[in-house]
Amino acid sequence: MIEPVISVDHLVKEFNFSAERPTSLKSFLTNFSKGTVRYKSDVFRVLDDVSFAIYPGDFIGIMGRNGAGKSTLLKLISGIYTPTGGSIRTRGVIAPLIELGAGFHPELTGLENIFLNASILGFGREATEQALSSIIEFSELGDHIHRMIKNYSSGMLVRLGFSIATHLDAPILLVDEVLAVGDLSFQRKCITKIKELHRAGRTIILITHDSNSVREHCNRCIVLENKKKIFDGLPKEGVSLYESRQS
Amino acid sequence: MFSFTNRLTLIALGFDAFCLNKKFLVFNLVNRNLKIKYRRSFFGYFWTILAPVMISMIYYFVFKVVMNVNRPHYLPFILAGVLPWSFFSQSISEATESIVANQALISKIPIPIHVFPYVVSITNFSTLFFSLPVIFILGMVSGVQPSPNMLWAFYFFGCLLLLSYSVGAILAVFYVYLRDLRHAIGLALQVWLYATPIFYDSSMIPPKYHWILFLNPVGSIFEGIHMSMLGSEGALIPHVLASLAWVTIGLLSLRVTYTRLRSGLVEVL
Repeated sequence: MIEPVISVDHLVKEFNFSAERPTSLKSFLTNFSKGTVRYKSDVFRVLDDVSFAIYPGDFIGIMGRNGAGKSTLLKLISGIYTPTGGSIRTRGVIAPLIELGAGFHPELTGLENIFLNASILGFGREATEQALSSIIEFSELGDHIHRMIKNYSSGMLVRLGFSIATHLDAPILLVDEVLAVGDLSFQRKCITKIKELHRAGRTIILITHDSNSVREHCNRCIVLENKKKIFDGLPKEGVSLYESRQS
Repeated sequence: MFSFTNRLTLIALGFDAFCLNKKFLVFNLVNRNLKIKYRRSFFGYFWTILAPVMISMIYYFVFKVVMNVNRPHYLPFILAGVLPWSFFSQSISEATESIVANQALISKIPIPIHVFPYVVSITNFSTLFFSLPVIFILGMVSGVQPSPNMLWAFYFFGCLLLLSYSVGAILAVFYVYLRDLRHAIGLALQVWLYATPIFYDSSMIPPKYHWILFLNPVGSIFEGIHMSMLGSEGALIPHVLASLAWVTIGLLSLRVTYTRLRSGLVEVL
């Protein structure tokens, strides 16, 4: 039996908005005079009892409308948020492509930013140095790699960010609609690269509301609606369910 | 060796407080800060020395020339206090805002939040470390005799680093919830500056108030730095122990803050 790389068990996530009650004396006093000081907790549930398992080599599309809980799920899987209830277990390093070029500094060169970004994504010196030449090559930056990135075009920045995130050796890739950036030819190149990584045995989790990319690339699809998982299975069926709910 | 240190930190502090598993990240962030600080700056590192030297000269003028304080080697004495103090106060005020300032990163990438105050302390400490020769040189010019006691200075600087990190990292967490802290800290640091033996030492205050010095978390550290670097008289051991006690208190408070308040912090940001 194959062990899952990610297993999500009865996951519940709540946000406690009472933490955002008036944080200054001024707003406290104005609220107090209006009689609107609330200390009761204001709990908002974002994900309700979601369970699924992801196996090595899966290419999963997670779909859902805005506010369905996709991004929260993504942040829970990558370990940014802690679950309120239930559990998430992961095996192996996850490369989050939630934001490309996280931590890029405009006054540093492309090369310096590769090291900075890779370490922020959680990779060590050896892994970064090993991937360095392929990162530079894929980014098509050539000699620009020695220039400060504040002189880069937005296309160049995206290319560099994407190149770093996909060339480091992470067994699981979390992709959050970042593919919507960059020009058409680079988008195509990104898709090709992600499919190539999938063929090489990586697990890909794609969070999107684009039915086409799920139908074309994924082998499995999860649909979230109103905090719950309403579908888990073949992309064709998932997409048609998702689309029927849209109208 | 490192796994042993890692385990020790985990047991003592409950989390990887010194980012031992994230050395490459810390290195890159410190490296970035230093590069940015000195890029396109003609005098570069010279500025970090010039500012404290200027401040010391001003205080020297006020206290020595105008008010006629009688203390041998008074200029290196002030500098040996002003340099570590500017490290301490700058680290604390920068570290306090560091978690909120990196909010965009923290809410998108899984990254241990205490890395940011830690990096602030390390960055500022590295500039302090490189300006130490200035105190030493000024001391020699002023006629201070070198002695093996000077090695104790490293101990006190180490304590100061640990304490600045603990205080800064704790305040950084509270700052997420309470933005008043920025103003309060500026004020508190002003008071703290004069409550710390920087322009004076214990020989200039009445003996019956000496105990107050030990209540100041950095009091003994600054007293110790003065004693070891300028070869002043007096027993060093009480200050060594008092510094150690305050560092222990600082690190334990860090442990409590981070093991209790850390989860759920990213959601509030």
